[in-house]
Amino acid sequence: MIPSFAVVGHPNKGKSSIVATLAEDDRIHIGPTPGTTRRAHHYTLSVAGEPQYVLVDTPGFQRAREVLDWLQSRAKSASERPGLVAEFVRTHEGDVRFRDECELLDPIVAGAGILYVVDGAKPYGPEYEIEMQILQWTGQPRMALINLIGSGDHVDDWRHALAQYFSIVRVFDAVNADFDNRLSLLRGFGELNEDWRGAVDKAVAALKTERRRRRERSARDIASCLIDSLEMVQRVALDDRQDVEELQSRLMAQFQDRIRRRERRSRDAVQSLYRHQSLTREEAATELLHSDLFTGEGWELFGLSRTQLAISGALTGAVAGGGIDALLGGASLLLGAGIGALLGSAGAWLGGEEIAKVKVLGEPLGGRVLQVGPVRSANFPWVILGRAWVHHHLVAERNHARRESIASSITAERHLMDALPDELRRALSRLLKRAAAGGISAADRLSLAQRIGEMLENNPGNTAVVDSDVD
Amino acid sequence: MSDSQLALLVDVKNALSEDADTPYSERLERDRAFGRGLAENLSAADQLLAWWRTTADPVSPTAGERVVRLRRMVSAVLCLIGALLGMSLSTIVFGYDGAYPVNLFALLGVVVGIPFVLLILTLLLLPGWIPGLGVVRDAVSGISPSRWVGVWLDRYSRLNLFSTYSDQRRRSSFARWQLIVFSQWLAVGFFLGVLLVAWLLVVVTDLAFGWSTTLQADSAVVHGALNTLASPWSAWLPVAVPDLELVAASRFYRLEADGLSSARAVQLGEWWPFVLMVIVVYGLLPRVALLIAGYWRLRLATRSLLVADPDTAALLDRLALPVVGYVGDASAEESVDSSSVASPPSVEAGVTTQALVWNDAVGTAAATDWLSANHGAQLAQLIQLSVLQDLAERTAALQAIDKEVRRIVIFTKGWEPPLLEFSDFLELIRENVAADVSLMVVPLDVSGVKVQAAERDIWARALTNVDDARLYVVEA
Repeated sequence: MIPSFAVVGHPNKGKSSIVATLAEDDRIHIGPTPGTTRRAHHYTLSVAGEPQYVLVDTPGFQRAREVLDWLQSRAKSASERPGLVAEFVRTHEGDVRFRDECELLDPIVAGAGILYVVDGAKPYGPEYEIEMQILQWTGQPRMALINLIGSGDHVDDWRHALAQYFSIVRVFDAVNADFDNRLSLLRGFGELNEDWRGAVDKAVAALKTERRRRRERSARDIASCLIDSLEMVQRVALDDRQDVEELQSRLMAQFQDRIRRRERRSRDAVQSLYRHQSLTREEAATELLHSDLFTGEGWELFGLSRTQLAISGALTGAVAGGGIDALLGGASLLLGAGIGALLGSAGAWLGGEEIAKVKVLGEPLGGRVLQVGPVRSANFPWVILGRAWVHHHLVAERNHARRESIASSITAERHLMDALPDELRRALSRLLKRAAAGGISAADRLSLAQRIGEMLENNPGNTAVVDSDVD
Repeated sequence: MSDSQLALLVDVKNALSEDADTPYSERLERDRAFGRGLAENLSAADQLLAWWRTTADPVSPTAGERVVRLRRMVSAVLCLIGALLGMSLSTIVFGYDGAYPVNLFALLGVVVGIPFVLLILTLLLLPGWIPGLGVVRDAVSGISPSRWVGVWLDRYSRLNLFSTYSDQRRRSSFARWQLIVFSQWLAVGFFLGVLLVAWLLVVVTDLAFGWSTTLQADSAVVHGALNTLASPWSAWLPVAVPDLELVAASRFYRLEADGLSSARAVQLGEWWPFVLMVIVVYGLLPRVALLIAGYWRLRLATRSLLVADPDTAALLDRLALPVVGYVGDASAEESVDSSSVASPPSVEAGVTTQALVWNDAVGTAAATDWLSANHGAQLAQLIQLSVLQDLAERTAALQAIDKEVRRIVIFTKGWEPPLLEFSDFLELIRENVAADVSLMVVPLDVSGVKVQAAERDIWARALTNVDDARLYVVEA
């Protein structure tokens, strides 16, 4: 049987927050109103489809005193206590009066370990001991978690009281716990029962590997976003009746919108990787100036400019003419090649316009084009990268119990990179220059993703980043 | 086949582009679930194909099939253009009006020599073989009709493989080998055209071949050179190997104005098997070999493109990597009653008030101070009650409340949630006091003073389950 852990306690002490944090599920309802969890919810951690353990989010105790009275009125010896708790659940199944108690005791009776949650920011009260006694009566391995909701500090009082009923007492800030805290808590689950340790250790190892993969996948996605943004070009076919300036402004707006959408897609992907499905963000869009962008008008056929086409025509004509010269055994004194080159270049120059209008399978072969992009500002890739880094950091470190939207802004784009080791910064700089120069090889693309992955392991730092949660 | 991989690449890229808006975790779960059902030793291409067929629900002809069809059409057209060029050139170089024999050196130089040099150049210019030849390669590729076709094919397939060809760093192996394959189709067509016309001329006309040079050339040397040329087939096709007598007899001088005798014309016609074999062995076969090699490399390049593409690589990653994560059974949020108990009536001075403190919410002194400040005199004795007491004890305390009391103030811990056992306690109070006695719940904060309006609202909403018209929640 796979280990199971029931998160139990008083209502509104952060049970669902703890489950949301551990299960990385930001859809779990968390609210100040007590009684939002009305029945037990099971969250199974699977590694490659193989369940490792189950977390059970339960409703809080509502009538603990009555439950204890019921148990005490029937108990004759300590050995009967676990059986009596099971009998209580069986007897009151379907009884609306004890619905919450049955929901929370049922998984424990079925063999779940107990994670009893209290709020260390609020004073200890002796009435809690009733709940602790009931849990003690179940005979199941149990751990107390002192959650911290608010600014008060009554942890010591709680610790002393809880230590009398629980073999392990830990402080766990469900809303602010980082990944290492979460893993540490999971390892603690394994300490509750020797038989559970294997599954818990396997889950911890898998979560660490998954964490690394998420970072790598994020890095790959950020690299793609960066390269796409740097290579982005907005082009439109021009005809003589159009106002070029008006078209250029429209193209510029479309270009900026594409950059924004590309960044948004990347942000969504990163959030999705870290299972932040409901997280909203408030982020100013990257603003580009006209001076940041290449804008120009041109003409092309088969991907060649008019001059390139003329040269190609001349070369082609020369080769054809050269063949005639060869046939004549050189008697033509290379006139064939010369005339061929002239005819080829003139034909390409003069006839290119007409050829460009020809449509094959609906695609014109060429014509006049107006182009906006790529971005040529040297700072641009750093801005994109810096924003992505900050966003990744906020998302990766963010707890699933938090419900506010995130807002991020960068106060100093290049300065942000000072937080990186010199070697990494130089490598990124080299790769970004190549990407910005208009092309990046597959190998460089891979290197860029790896380097970004290394970057994501670092903290962007408090000096450069303004991270605020927006209600 | 390269065709099916190219079609798959185009189709998978399209499908992934449409799939981009699906949340990542959803894609991960879906693709991993699909990946688990795939055979373990399935190639990347087969995995992608299986995924695409299941996920994209393709309708034939797909975009990929259309691109492949287009590529085949381009290859056929190039082959046809090559054949027409070859036939035209062949008609010229095999031209024989009876005055002089066809000059073997000129014929083979134009038909085989120049294309052979171009072939060698192509092989030398293959990337990485000889450094520093990039400029030449770029100049050659600039005038290659294959590249023009590639750029146009790019616009149709939207793969952007040929448009970046001029940038060496972005040049894909696929584009390079595709250009070579296109070029070989042109060349193969060319030689087939040459051979076709040559064969027709041999069959329906009398051709005579000879050789001529201004240099003092010994027939034996020429014979030796031609025999070396013919060495690939000399063992099994001796008729296509010129002997010394034929070589010596084939030398001609344009000053010999009297034309050829019939006998000599017949003898000079014996060259045709050699000529055709030279075209086949040194013209057609290398091109066919390069075409086959090109297809093989193109297939590898397509496969590499398929696997190395960032989007398809991410998909393969999702298909293969184990998913670590939780699956929960939580359904939609459960609704919470948002109704609230009524606001308390205004305090009338002189009304006898009983104070109850629930679960040590506040000390006696603080509670007394609060009551004097808010309710004046007529205060009955304060009672401390707790859930730790048993029911009989609590009931007894409530039954002892003075019957003159018209208002009961219940202090409770505002930082704790309102539990159902507190509601039970309120009902117990009501059972022990008259129906017209007001019950005023005062949630206090940790400092014993007051709770925030939000917390007061939580209490007010929670206590709606106590069906009591004279129950109020008061801000301290």
